[in-house]
Amino acid sequence: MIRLLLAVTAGLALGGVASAQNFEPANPECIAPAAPGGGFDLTCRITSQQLNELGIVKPTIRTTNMPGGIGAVAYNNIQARRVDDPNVIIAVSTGSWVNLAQGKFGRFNENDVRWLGAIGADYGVLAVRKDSPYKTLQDFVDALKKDPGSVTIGAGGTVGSQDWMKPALVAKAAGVDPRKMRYLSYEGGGEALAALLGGTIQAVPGDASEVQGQLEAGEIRVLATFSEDRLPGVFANVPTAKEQGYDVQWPIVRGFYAPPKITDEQYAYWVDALKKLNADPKWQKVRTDQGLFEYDMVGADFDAFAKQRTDAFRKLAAEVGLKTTGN
Amino acid sequence: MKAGLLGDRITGSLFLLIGIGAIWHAWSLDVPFAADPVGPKAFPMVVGALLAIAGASILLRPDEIAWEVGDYGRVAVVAGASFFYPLALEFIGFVLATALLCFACGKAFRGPTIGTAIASVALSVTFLLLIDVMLGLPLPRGPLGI
Amino acid sequence: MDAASSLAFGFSVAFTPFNLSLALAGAALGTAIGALPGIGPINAIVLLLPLCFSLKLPPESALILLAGIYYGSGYGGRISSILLNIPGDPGLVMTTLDGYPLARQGRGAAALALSGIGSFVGGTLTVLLLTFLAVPIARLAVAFGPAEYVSLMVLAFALLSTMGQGRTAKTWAAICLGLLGAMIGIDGGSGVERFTFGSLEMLGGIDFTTLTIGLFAVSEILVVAEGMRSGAVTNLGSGERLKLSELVSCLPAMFRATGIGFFLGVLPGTGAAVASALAYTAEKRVSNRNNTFGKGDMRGLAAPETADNAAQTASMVPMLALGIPGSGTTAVMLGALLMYSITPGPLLFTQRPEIAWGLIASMYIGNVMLLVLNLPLVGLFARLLLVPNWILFPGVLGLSFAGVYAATNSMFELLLTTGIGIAAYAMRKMGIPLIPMLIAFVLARLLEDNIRRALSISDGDLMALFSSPVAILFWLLAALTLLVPVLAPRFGRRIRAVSDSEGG
Repeated sequence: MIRLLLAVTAGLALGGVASAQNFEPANPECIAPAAPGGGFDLTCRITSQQLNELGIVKPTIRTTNMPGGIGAVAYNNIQARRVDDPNVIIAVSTGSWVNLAQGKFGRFNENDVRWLGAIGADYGVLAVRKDSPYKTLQDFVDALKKDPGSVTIGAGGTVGSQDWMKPALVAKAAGVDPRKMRYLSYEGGGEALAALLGGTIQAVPGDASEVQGQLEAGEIRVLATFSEDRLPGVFANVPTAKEQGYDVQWPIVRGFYAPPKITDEQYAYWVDALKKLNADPKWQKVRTDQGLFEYDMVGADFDAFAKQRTDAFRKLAAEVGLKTTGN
Repeated sequence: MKAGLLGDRITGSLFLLIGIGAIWHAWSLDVPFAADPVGPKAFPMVVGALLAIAGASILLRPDEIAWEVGDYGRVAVVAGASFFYPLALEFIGFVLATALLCFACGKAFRGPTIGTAIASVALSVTFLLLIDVMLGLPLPRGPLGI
Repeated sequence: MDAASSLAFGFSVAFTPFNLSLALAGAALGTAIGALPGIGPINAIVLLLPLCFSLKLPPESALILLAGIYYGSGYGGRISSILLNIPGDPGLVMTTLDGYPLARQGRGAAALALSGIGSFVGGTLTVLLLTFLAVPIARLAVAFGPAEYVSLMVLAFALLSTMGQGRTAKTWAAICLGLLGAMIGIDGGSGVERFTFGSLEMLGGIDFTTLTIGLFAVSEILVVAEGMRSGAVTNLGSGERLKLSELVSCLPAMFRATGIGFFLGVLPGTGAAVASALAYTAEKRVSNRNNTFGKGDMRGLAAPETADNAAQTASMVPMLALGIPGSGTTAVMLGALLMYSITPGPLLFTQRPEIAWGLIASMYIGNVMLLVLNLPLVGLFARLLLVPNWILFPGVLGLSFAGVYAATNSMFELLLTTGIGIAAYAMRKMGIPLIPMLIAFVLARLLEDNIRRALSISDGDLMALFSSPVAILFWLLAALTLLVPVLAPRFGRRIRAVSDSEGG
């Protein structure tokens, strides 16, 4: 709690207070908890490159890959070896919190690092083929209610992953047991989309960025976006789930955390850097090009958000009978 | 020859044990629920059973293995160096650790001492330049910064 | 615009001196990076992507550079596969089977040349098919359902089981080990951890690269260290270049392999490793009349090499036609497109024809560049073998470890690599074949996931696995593959007579 308070004050004090600028990392590093080419990897490489190019962080930021368990290996590596290293920031996404909540990060929980901030978000969507009988989210829910087995859902994640959580939340909101869903797990979003277009599965709870091309071309219909407000661009005509009476939101937030024992000054430096980045129009263009939407949340807000989300996922996982950490 | 049959007997029993272990592991999995009628247990159990059968068949009807007479000392040096390399890498840095690995292996391949030493250092520095500096994939630096 | 005039337009984009030199530079860079064990096409592209971006290359130029790197890095890995019996990438494992014996016979340069030509043939024929038929083929590929995948995998395993030289029990044991190894990690259908024993590093399963380097690089170096055979190929065979007659004799193998590679490359999920393995085993089934496969048969080298490149190229089909990444590398290329605000998808051809056709044209050019760049150099590459053993093998070991570490930053991953290497060394001593194990590992998830998907859809009804004509066809082929060796001895004399008269 004290840390939270400090973080709040640090966050408030940002703006232009010189104290935040006393610290400068000597050899900054961004850890991508994925193999080269994975989602985290691009987050790290592009963010680092932009932080340097826009002059927000002076020394060159290097990207290190540390794949394993959607961030679990990197999380534990930080705890074991670099608890107070101010040079390092680590990429994180909503998927990491889902796994953190299910105890897949070992003995550590969401209070063991310092959450820095988000740089953007993708949003969950529910996509069906263009000739699908489901025209609205309500049609989909009706079919689920009538017979949960009648709709074959498929996505890139495992049971218990965020791709599974999205339809599970819809089912739960409709009073259907998520465990009764007919869910096929694929190796990646691309394979699931292929199966949708090929007719093997009937619905893909995917991400906005990965279905955008198909939506533009009219190959698929998006029944709902799992966002607070309507998404811009091609998604402007797609109603949110909330509009359709099912308050399910699934932002796939991309952001960073820092080791737990860095000083508040060091924490403030990185928070300030992300804040400046998010405000820069050049970065905003790069972010949009990557298929990410604006998600301006840094410092204490993000810290609270990370903890709140992880806890919500923990409750959800426990509700549907998945394993969770006892917290 | 007894020694020749021994190899297959050990291999066969190992496979038999691994197969049974796999079946046991799959059997004892705690599955809250699975999204499909097959579930996560069936596959490892079938494969484990197949492996156990293959293992039993090798164990019961072992073949002669023609042992080449090799220099196991050299194998031990290379394997040992490969084993200690990861443990040392993050503490003494990439260049030193790789030079030591190359030197130990070079000697195992009967290289001349001075030549091997020079080659080892040259190789590890080259790799650092290639991977770390040129490709931008960071390799661990030791206390000396290399 | 029809395909031909669009392609001409694409070439007009690609044929500027600047873009051509980018293609050449990409092929050269890619070859160099691909030659590093553990750093394959994906890493090569990812590492150079920010470079394209900061050089402010226009998107079509960046894609041309990346296509060059893509083809180049695929070729680079062949050098150590053929010359040293050390594949750095799962797709190159089959290359060692006949490539390495060729190198030991002093035909290293010829083998490298053949591999380059095979890649060129596979790549170019595939781009041709892609140019004219991308969209209909992609439509067919996505309609390939779980039942079809299952039957295809069964056929693959049937072919695989015939691969081992020694006892069937040992081949099957190797296959089972590969299957079990692939089950390590989180199970998709239930979210349950299997065979991880509480290790976080194992949650994501064993990495292909770690497994390949452990199984083949480390174990090979141990075998050479033991002195079972000398690693140095003393006879460089400097005069023995690839003969035209040899090349011609490989052409049918190349065409067959292109077909197999194209088919498997287009399917989402099956990649170059599966394609090269099936092309090799199928070619062996068709052509191995005098039992020359595995002993330096040119066709045994040409088939996997051609299929590998054909599959790599064909995996671009679903990406270009439907915006769906069919493989890890295409997913990265897709990421590259996204960075340039280009949404890949069915509309790419109409909205941004210069990108779509520029990329297709650059594939033709990348393939040619690869040949132009590498054919004159094969003799030079072959001279790698003149490096003394005590520099060469420690160097390869150090480089392999550096590659694994650089991509994972994990001590655990290195220890795993060493552990797998030592186990693989023991297995080689005991006559357990490693290649069926690796291929089984690659195929395992496809088999298990698709069986479970098929049965999930059918509520456990096994008949779903035989539900379509395509699936039935593959089941029949699998049955034939398994039954022919059993039945053949009975009809042996007649078959041999026929094949002799055919083979001339």
